[in-house]
Amino acid sequence: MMFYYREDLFKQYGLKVPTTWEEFAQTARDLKKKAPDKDLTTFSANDSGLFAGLAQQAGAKWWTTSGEKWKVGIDDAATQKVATFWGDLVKEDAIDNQPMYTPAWNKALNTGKQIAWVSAVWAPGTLTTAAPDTKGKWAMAPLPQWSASENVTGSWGGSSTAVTTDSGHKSAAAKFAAWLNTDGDALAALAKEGGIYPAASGAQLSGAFLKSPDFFSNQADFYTKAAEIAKTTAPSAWGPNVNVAYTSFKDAFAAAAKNKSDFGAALKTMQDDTVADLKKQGFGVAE
Amino acid sequence: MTSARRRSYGVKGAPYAFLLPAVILFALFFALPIGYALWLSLHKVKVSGLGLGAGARKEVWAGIGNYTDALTDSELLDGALRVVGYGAIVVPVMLGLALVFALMLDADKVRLTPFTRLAIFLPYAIPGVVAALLWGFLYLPDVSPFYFVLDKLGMPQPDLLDGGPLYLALSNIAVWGGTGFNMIVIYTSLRSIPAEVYEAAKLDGATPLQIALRIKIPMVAPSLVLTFFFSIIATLQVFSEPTTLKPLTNSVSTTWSPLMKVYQDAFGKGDIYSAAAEATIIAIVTLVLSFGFLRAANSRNKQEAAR
Repeated sequence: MMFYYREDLFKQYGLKVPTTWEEFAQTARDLKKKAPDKDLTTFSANDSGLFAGLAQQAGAKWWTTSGEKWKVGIDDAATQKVATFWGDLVKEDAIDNQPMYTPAWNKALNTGKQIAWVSAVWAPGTLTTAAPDTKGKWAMAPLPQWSASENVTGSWGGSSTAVTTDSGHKSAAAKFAAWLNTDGDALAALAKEGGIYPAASGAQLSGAFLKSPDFFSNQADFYTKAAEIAKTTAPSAWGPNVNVAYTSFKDAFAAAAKNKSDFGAALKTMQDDTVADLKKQGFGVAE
Repeated sequence: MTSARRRSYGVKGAPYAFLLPAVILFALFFALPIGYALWLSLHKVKVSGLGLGAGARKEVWAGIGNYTDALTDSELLDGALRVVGYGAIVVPVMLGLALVFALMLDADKVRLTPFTRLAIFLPYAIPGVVAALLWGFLYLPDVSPFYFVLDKLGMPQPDLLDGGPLYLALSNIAVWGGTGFNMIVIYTSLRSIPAEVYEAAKLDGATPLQIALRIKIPMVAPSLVLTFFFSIIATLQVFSEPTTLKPLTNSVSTTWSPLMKVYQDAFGKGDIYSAAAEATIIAIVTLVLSFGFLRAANSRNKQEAAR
C-alpha cells in the first residue's frame, strides 16, 4: 500500500507529503483550515481490505494458530491504534466519512474535493475511471509510518495460488503454481492479461512495469518506487472466516463512521462477531 | 348415461398426461428446491480443530437449532421491523396513487389517456436495480441535480440517505416503480364496469365524485384486494433497492431487510444452513400474512354480499 495525492493541490495549499501518520493527521487539519470544503481523504467502511492493510502495517496479526486452535487478534493493540486514529479524524471532521466507490466519491476525486487516497499499487486503474480529468496530476509516495524510524507497508488485496487436498494431481498442480508465479513469461502474461502486480521481485521491474502507468506519466519512477515499497510489506495472517470479519467490519464501522462514534467499540464488535462465528462452526478457538 | 361413462373411461389417462409436464416442472423446480432448503435448514457444518485437511468439515444434523437461532437473532427481527416501517409508507401511498390515477384516467373528460397511461406505467418496465441506481444517484448530494438546485436557491438540503428520510427515499423508489402496474390492474377492472350502471347513476343525479366513491371504488374492490395482496408480498421481500443503495451510504447495513440477511448469511458468511432456516421463516410469515389478509378480505366480501 502507498499514499496517493494530488501533487498540484498539495503545492497550491502548501502541504507537505506526510511521512508519519501524525503528519498525515496534521495535513488533514491544515487542509481543513485552508480549504474548509475540501477533505484530505475519507474513511470508507465499504472496503474492509483497506483497513486490514492498515492494521497489518501497524503490526496486527488478525488470525494466528496455537496448536489445534485459532486465535483471533482483530481487537489487538495495533489494530486499536489504527481504529482510534481514523475514528478521531472522523470525529473531529478532519476527513470525510462517506464510502468509496460511489458516484459522489468519483466526483470528489475528479474535482479535487478529496485530494489524497491511501491505496495500493492498482490505484492508477481505479483513478483512471473514477477521476479521468485529473490525469497526470497525482503522485505516489510511501505510506505514512507510525514512527519516523519505521518503514513498513500493508497489503490491500492480493491473490495466491493454492492446491486443494482433493486435487487428483497435487504435485503437478504445485509445479504449475510455482511456474505461474516465478517464470518470466508467465508473470509477463499475468501482468498483461490479468492486471496483476507480481510478488516475485525479479518481475516487478520488467515487462509491463518498465513504464509508468499512463495516468501517472508525470511520475517516471512509479514502478521503481513501487518495487521499493513492496520490499517493506508486512507479513499478514489470514484465517478461516475472513468473510465474516469483513462483513462485520462493514456494518460496525459504517455505523461508527456515520455516528462519528467510538471506532474502538466497532473493532470490538468485529472481534466478537468473528470469534462467535468460529465457535459456532466448531473451530478450536483460543481465548 | 352408460355410453357416456364408457367414453370417459377411454380418455381416463388423458388429464394425467396433460398434467404431467406441469407436475414434472413443479416437482423439479419448485418442490425439490423447497425440500432441499428445508433439509439444509435442519443441518449445519461441524468443523473440528483448525478446520484444515480432509474430514475437518462435516455436515451434521442440527435439529431446530438453526430456527431457534434465527428467531432469537435480534437482527432478523429488527430487519422485519424496518421492513414493516417501509411497507407502512409504500403500500398506502402506492395503492392510493394507483387508485387516484386509475379513477382520473377513467373519468369522462380526459385527454391524452393512452399517453398518460403509458407514462405512469413506464417506470414499472425499468428493472428494480436500475431504478435504485438512478434514484441513488439523485439522492447523493454531491452529484444530484436536485441538490444543485436546492443549493442555488439557498434552501436546506436534507440528507435522504439517513435516519427517517432513508425510509422515504427507499419507499419513493418502490412507489415510483410500482404505481403504474397497480394502476393498470385497477384501471382494467374499472373499464369492465358496464356502462348502464353509470347511466343509472347519472339518471339518479349522481355527481362524478359520487360515482367514483359510491360505484367505482366498491366495484373495483376485488382488484384493490389483489393489488394489496401483491404489494404486501413485494414489501416483505424487499431486497434490490436497499442492496443497491447500500454501497452509497453508511446508513444501510448488510442486513437491513430480512432477505438481505438471508443473502448475507448464505453468500457473505457462507452459512447456507442458517440462511435456509431464515428463508423458511420468511416464507411462512409471508404466507400467513398474505393469505390471512386474503381470507379476511374474502369473509368481509361475503358478509357484504349476504347483507
